[in-house]
Amino acid sequence: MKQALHIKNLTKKYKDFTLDHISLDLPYGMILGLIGENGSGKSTLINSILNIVKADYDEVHILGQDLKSQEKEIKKEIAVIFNDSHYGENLTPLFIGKMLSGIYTDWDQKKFTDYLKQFHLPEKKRLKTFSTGMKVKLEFAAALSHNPKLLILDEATNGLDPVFREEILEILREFTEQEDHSVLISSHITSDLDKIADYIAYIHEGRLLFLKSIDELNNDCGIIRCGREFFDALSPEDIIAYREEPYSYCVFIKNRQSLRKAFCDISIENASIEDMMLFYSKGEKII
Amino acid sequence: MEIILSSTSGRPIYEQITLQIKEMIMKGDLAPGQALPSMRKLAKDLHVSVITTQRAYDDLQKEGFIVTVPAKGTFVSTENQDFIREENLRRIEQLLTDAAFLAKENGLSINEIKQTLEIVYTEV
Amino acid sequence: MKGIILKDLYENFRIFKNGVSYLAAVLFLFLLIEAMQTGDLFSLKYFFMLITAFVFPLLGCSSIESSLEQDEKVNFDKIQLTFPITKTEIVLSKYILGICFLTICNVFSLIFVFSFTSSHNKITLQEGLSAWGFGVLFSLVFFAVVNFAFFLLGRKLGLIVYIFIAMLFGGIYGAVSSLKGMEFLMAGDKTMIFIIGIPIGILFVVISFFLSLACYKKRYS
Repeated sequence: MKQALHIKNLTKKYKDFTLDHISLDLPYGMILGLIGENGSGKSTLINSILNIVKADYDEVHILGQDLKSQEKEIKKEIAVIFNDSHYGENLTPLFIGKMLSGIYTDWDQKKFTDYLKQFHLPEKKRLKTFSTGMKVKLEFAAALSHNPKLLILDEATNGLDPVFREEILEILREFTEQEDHSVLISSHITSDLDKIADYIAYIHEGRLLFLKSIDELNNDCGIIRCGREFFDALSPEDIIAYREEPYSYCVFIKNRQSLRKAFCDISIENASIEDMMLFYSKGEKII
Repeated sequence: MEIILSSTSGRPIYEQITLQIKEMIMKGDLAPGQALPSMRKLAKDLHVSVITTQRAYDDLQKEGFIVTVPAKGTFVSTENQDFIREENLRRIEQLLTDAAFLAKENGLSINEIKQTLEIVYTEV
Repeated sequence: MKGIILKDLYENFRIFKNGVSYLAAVLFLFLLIEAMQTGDLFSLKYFFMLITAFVFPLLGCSSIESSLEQDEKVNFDKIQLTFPITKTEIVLSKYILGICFLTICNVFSLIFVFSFTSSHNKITLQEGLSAWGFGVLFSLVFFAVVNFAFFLLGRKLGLIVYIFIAMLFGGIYGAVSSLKGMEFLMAGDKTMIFIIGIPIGILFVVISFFLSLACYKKRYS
C-alpha cells in the first residue's frame, strides 16, 4: 500500500445524519486538510477510522494495515490530537510520560522531556493549572514522543492564538520532513491549511465534494470579478461556481493559465481554501 | 541561495522556484555539483507544499539543470554549459518575439527594429 | 494496560480528596475497633463480623469509582481509544486493579482476624475465619455487581447502586444477626458454604467482566 491512509466507501448512519460513502487516499509524506462546515461529518470520519464509532466500509487501511484486523498495531504508530485535552486534570506531564511509557512500546522519554522544555511546560505541575494553549502543547509533546508515522489532528488548533498556531504549523512542517510521516488535519482555520496542506478534502453534508491538491487550487483556480458581458463570454467549462453580486459577477474559475493567455489583461485573484469552500457551498454551480 | 516568492505575481509558485533556481545556476551562484536542499526541506523552509517543490525539482531535472542521486540527494548538474546556452537562446528568442509583436502593433517596420537592435547591441 | 492501571492508582491516591477518603475510612475502622471492645459480647461479635466481612470488602471495591470520576470529567475514553490497547484490555485493567485492591483488603481483613482472635479470647479463630470467609464471598459478589453497574450506568448512578446494595446487604446482615443471633453466622463448620460459594463468587466476577465489556463495546459502536 503506497497510501498512509486509504478509505473506500466509508458510511456511518445516524438518525438524522449520514456520512455517505466516503473514499479518500492520503499518500505517504503528505498533509491532508479536511474542511467542512460544523456538523458536516469531519469528526465522524475521524472517529470512524479510529474505531471510536463503528462504521461500515469496504476498506480502511492505515499505514498499509487493515483497520479491522490490525487495529492495535496501527494505533502504535499513530497519534491523535483532539481540540480539548482528555488527560485528567490532576495528572502532571511527568506522570503522563510515565503512563504513556507503559502504553507505547516505542515511547521516547528523552524526546518527551525535550519537548516539554521546548514548549516551556512545567513537568510537575498538575494539568488544572495549565492554560488551553499549554494543554494543547502537552498533547503535541505526548503525541510526537512515541515515533508516530501518522498524526491526526481533529480541530486541534481551535481557540489558539495565531502565534501559537504558527508554532504548531512549524512542528508539522518539521514532522513531514521525513518521507514516511503523514498528517491528517481537520480544521476550520482554513488559513492554516493554506499554509501547510498538500491536499484538501471538502466534506459537505456527509459527502466528499472534492479532493484537490493545493497546487491545483493555487495554480489552476482563481477568482475573476467581471461584468455580465465578460461573464457570458466565459465557457461553462472554465467555471466551477459563481456569485451574482449587486454590481458584478464573482466567478471561481478553474483554467487559470489558459484564461490568462486568452484574456491578457484580466486580473485573476488567487483563490484561498476559504474562497473555495464558500463558492462550493454558497455559489451557483454551472453543470 | 535565495528564493523569494511572490503571491501577487501571476506565475505559479513552482514556476517561480524553477526560474529562480535556473537563474542562480546560470549566473553561477549555484556551482555545478553543488548540493541543493531536499524537496521536503525546501518545502518546509519556503512554507509551501511539498507537491510544489516536487514539481519544481521535476521540471528542473527534466530540463537537465539538476540531478537527483538516490540516497544521496539533489545536486546542480555538472553538464551545465550546453543547457545554459540553450536556455539563454530560448530566452532571447522569446524576448525578440515579444519585441516583434509590440513593434508590429505599433506599426514599426522591420528595418526600424533592426536599427534599434544595432544601437542597443553596440551600447551594451 | 500497565499505563492505565498506573493512572488509576495515581487517581485513587494522589488526588487529595480520594487519598483523604481512604485515610478517613482507615481511621473510622480503628475507631470502630476501639469502640466495639467496650460493648457486650453480642455487639463485640456483631461489629467484629461487620468489620471483617463488610467494611474491609467495601473498601476493596472502590477503586473503580475514583478513576471513573476523573475519566468522565475529561472524557478520557476518547484519547484512550486512540492508544494501542483493545477494549478488552481497557475493561480488564479496571478489573485487575479492582481485584488487587480486593485481595489486599481481604488480606488486611485476615490479619485483623488473626490479631484480634489471638489477643482477645472472646472470639475463636474458627469463628473469625468463618466471618472472614463470608467477607470474601461478599466481596466477590459485591465487586461483580458494582463494577458492572459502573460500566452500565456511569459513575453517578453506579455510586447510587454501590450505596444501595451496600445498605441492602447491611440491612440483611442486621436483620439476620438480630433475629438469629451471631452464633448462626459465626459458629459451626462453614467450610461447605465456602467451598461452593467462593467458586460461584468468582463466576460472578467473570460474568460481570464480560457484561461490562459488552457495555463498553456497545457504547463505542
